[in-house]
Amino acid sequence: MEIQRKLKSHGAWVGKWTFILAATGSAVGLGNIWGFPYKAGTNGGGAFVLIYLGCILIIGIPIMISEIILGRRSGNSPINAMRYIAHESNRSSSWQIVGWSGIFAGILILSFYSVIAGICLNYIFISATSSGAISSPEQFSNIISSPVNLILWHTVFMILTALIVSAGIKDGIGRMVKILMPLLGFLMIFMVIYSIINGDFSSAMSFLFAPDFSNVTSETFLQAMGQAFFSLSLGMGSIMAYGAYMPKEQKVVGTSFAVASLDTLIAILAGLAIFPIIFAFNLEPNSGPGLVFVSMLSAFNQMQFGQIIGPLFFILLSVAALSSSISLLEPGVAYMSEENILSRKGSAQIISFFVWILGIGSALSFNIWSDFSLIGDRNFLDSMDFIANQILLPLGGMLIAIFVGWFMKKSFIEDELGPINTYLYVLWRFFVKFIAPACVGYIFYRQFF
Amino acid sequence: MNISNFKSTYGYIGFIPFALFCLVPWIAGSELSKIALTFQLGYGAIIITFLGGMSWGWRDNQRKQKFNLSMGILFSLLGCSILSLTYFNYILVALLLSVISFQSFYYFEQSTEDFLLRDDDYKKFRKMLSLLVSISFLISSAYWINPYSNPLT
Repeated sequence: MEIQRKLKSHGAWVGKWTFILAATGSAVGLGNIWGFPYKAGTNGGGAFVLIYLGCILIIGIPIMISEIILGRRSGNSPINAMRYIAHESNRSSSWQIVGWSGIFAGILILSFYSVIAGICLNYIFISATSSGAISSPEQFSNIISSPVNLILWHTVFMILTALIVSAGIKDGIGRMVKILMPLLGFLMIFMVIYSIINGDFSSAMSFLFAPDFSNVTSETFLQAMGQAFFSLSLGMGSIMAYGAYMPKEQKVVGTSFAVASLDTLIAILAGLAIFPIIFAFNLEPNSGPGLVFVSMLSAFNQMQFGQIIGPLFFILLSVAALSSSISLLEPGVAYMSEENILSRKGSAQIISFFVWILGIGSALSFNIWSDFSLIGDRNFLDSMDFIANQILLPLGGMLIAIFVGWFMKKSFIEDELGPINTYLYVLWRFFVKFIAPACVGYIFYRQFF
Repeated sequence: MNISNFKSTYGYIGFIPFALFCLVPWIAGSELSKIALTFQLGYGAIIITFLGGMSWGWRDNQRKQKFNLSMGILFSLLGCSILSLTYFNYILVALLLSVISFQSFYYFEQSTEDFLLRDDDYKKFRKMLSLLVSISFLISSAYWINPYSNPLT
């Protein structure tokens, strides 16, 4: 079968910053905002940050470069990208399974991510009107025990995501990331300035950055590797799909470094915005995901101007969630529209509807389906998370590194990378051939054993 | 390496102490904070005095050179004031005066004839360096204002 580049049917990013903003938006999400600072603080602070940066260099950036190369070379959605390049490299078309796995993972993640993001949207209003009469754990419990409420906000979030993606690359995603990402940056800087002046910033800095090598164990390395891999949206086809719209003259390596640096910077800023407030109000810094909805609301209830700062914080979270959710929907929509199964708008609507249906299961996992187990003793939401995050993403990331490192034609890679420092190229080849697949394989193995 | 790149590299190396002195108090806590802030202010005072002195080396036949020399002295005096304020423990005032001094010097330098002849890379570098130094002083000011970290509270 003749497989052709279909870039023109989707459009392309306008300006070199659009891809960087879109890919950073994809990478910066809810898990990144609470996950990185929390893991850094509980795994040796500065020692964890150093190990994490090392992992970004040896796992994150090499796989990100590989995904961009695949996407841009083909100019197609992840499935057709893998099929096209495998065909051109005289390899089996079965490699397209990597694209399928990415799209499937994206759909599963979006189904529960949308429910959590819906809670963020709901919290914008709750934090603006909360008088503190109801305690924050009770408030959270009230929210998640209402299926109607969860489904309503899940619906609102999915409609927003579908509207952006259906408007296309230039007028939808491209335009929105140019609004959403500066807004995210502005809100983040505002929150950090507020925390510097009013929060216990000193304790937060010590918690996040004071290196404590006595806390470093093999588990720390595993956490850092996992964070480096998961925080960059790798293995789910989003970066590959976005790479397909990247202009030919844009430098792949420099762009990947820019995306990874911005992602890390935003994660660090998130820690500097959240933890000073947590420490100022003597709240537990290691309360995991509850940190955002329970601890932060409790702090906003107690602080001066909490009814203004609180909504701004939850707007920030919602913006981060939205910029990620559009990247989760895009690969599937791109595939359906380039195969002419449906128009771009129709594809976005159909996939969003399917995601919305799946999301209802996740919304019900918080309440009436909380005792229902789907895989092992996992409820519906945890099962979706298990399939996507613990199986499909590491598998996808590992296969992408293996394909580019071992099976893709070298001349295609060199063509996409353009003029590059020889040492940097040799180093990248080494990481993508040996280190990245081994590390992601180890993460995959440790999730089960 | 062209001379502009050389200047920017050295300029950023010169910025490292500012970055370190403004971050150390937040990480190390109150024991080292006062020392770090004093060192930052001292280093800043030396640099701004040095910058003021630079105008003496500028071309004498440029327009407004008399004004430039007077401004150069003003910045050296500002450096001296920053040191005095630090000595008398007016730390916050000294920090804010440093921000004003570094930003003002940038605008002053920008207004000179020779600055207009510089290449774009140098102009960007000067803008960025002044901004970074000012941010470092603002971060230290926040440390002094913050109720949880001020070593005097």
